[in-house]
Amino acid sequence: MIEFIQLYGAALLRPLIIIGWIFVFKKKTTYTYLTNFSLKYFICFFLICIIWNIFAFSFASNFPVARLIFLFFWILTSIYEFFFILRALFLSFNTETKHNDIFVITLSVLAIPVILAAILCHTNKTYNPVNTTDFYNMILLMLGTVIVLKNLLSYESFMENIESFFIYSGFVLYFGLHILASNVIPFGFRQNWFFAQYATLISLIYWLGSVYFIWKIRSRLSS
Amino acid sequence: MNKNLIVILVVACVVSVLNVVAVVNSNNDVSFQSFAESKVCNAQGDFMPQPYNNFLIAPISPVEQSDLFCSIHGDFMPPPFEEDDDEPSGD
Repeated sequence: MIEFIQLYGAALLRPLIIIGWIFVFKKKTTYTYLTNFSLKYFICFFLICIIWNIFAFSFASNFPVARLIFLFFWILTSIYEFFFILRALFLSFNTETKHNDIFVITLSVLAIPVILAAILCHTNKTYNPVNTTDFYNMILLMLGTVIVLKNLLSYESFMENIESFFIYSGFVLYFGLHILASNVIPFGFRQNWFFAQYATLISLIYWLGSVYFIWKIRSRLSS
Repeated sequence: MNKNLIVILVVACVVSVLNVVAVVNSNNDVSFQSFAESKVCNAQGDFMPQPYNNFLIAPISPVEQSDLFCSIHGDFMPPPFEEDDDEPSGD
């Protein structure tokens, strides 16, 4: 049972979470600009992961193709996470202009190591570049998410952004646990080499539980 | 232009340079961590790809041995059970 949860738990939870968050999104008609953006792109993030899982599951027996699929979707997901957190960061600063030029330059700079790591991983037949880059990405993403959360908490209309709060606090959990997972040996997790999968699973359970809490908070506010 | 956005851009540039240097140097690293990570993917994703050369490092110690350690929450872990503990004391 534990092995089944470890292998398929995350993949099974993702569709449930996407249904839950679509329910949250449809429930309320007016959102702040940041929450509207966060909800839409958070659901898209899960859609990408589900498509990734379908491909990974379909080609699981063909190891070379499975590795290529993993690398392709890892690039896509990593850049998408940067896009998501970076845009939220820009929005949370409430700047008068959009500053699309800085946004595009920053995203391009962040995408270079991701693409380079995937190419080196494929050519050298080693996961070292991907694991190293993922570690750096997680640190940057967690830092960005913490700043988004800090900005969210300082808003006067915090209750208007309660959905964003649950999304980004889940991301802090997700990125933080993945930082631990990328250092399994120094941190003494040798017996839990698959800690990365547990890290994802814990974050997904948090996001699934958030749906219930958002529903309860919104019901109380509307009554 | 907003000062915060410039800071974000600078941080992104610095970390990306560090990242590229670390990625390029990762092949020269001879530590156990590096060796282990070179075989097994530990990046994000629901389904991990197959390790290269079918090399799987986990679990390093036998499962029976890990059963002796307590891994539940708590600030101070209790001492692990040892085989000698099964024997009654001589009092």
